[in-house]
Amino acid sequence: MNCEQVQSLLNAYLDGEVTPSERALIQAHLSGCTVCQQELDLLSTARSQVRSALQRGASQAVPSQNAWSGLEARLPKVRVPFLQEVAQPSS
Amino acid sequence: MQIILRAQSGDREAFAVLFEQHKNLVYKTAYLMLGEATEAEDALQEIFVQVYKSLSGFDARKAAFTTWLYRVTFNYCLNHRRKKRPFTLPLEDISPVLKSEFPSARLAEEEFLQQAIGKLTDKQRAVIILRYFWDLPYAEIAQILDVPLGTVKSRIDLALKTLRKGIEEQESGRGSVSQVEVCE
Repeated sequence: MNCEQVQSLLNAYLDGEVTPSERALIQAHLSGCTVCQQELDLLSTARSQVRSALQRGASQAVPSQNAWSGLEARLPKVRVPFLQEVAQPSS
Repeated sequence: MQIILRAQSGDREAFAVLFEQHKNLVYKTAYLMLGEATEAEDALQEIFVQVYKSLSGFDARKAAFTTWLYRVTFNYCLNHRRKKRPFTLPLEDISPVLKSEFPSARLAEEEFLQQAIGKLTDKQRAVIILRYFWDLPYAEIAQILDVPLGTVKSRIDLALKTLRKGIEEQESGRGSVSQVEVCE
C-alpha cells in the first residue's frame, strides 16, 4: 500500500472497520512512514475532539419531565396499524 | 423483547416503559440533529406517536428495536431539516457551573466544533452522530440510514475531513466557522 491508499483507510482503521489483511498492510506501512503516522495522530486527535464536542453538546439535553403525559394525551385510544390508518380515506 | 411484544399488542403500560427506556436515545439524537431543545421536544413527541402507530410493523427478525427506532428518528429529523435553516448547538445551553470547569480555550474550541458540526450537511451530521456519539458500527449505521456500507464510510471520511480543516484553520488563528467547507 502507498501513502494515498493507507490514508484513505486510516479512519476506518481507527474505527476497527478494516479487514484483517488491510489492518496488517496498514500497520506494516505505518511502521516505516512518519508522514502517515503523523496523519494517524492528527486524525485520532480530531476524532476525540468531535466526540467530546458531541458529548458536551448533548450533556444537558434531556426530555422534559412531563414528556410522557404530553405524549400519552396524543396517542390514539385504540392503536390502528400504521398502513391501515394511512390507507383510510379522510372524512 | 417482552415489553415490545406487549406494546405491539396494544398494552399502553408496556408502551410507557418502552418510552422511558428509549426517550433519551430519541431526544439526544433529535437535539444533535435539529440543534434546539424545543424542536427536540417536538421531535420526541412526533416520533413516539409514529412509533405507537407503526409498532405493529416492527419485525424483530429483521432488525434490533433500537436500529428501527434510530431509523424512525433519523427519517423524522432529515425530513424536518429539509424545511429548516442551518443551526448551531448553542453553548449557552451549557450551565455556568460546567463552563467554569473548562478553560476558555477549550470551550472556544468546543464551541467552534459544535458550530462546525452544525454546518455539515444533514447526511454527514447523521453519520457523525451515529458513529461518534452513539458509537455504532458502520454496518448498523448503513442499516439505519438505508445506504450502502461504502456510503457510510465516505460520508464519515468527508465529514471528518471538513471538520479537521476547520479545526486546523481555527488553531492556526486564520479560520472562522464561516470558512468551514461544507460539501457532500
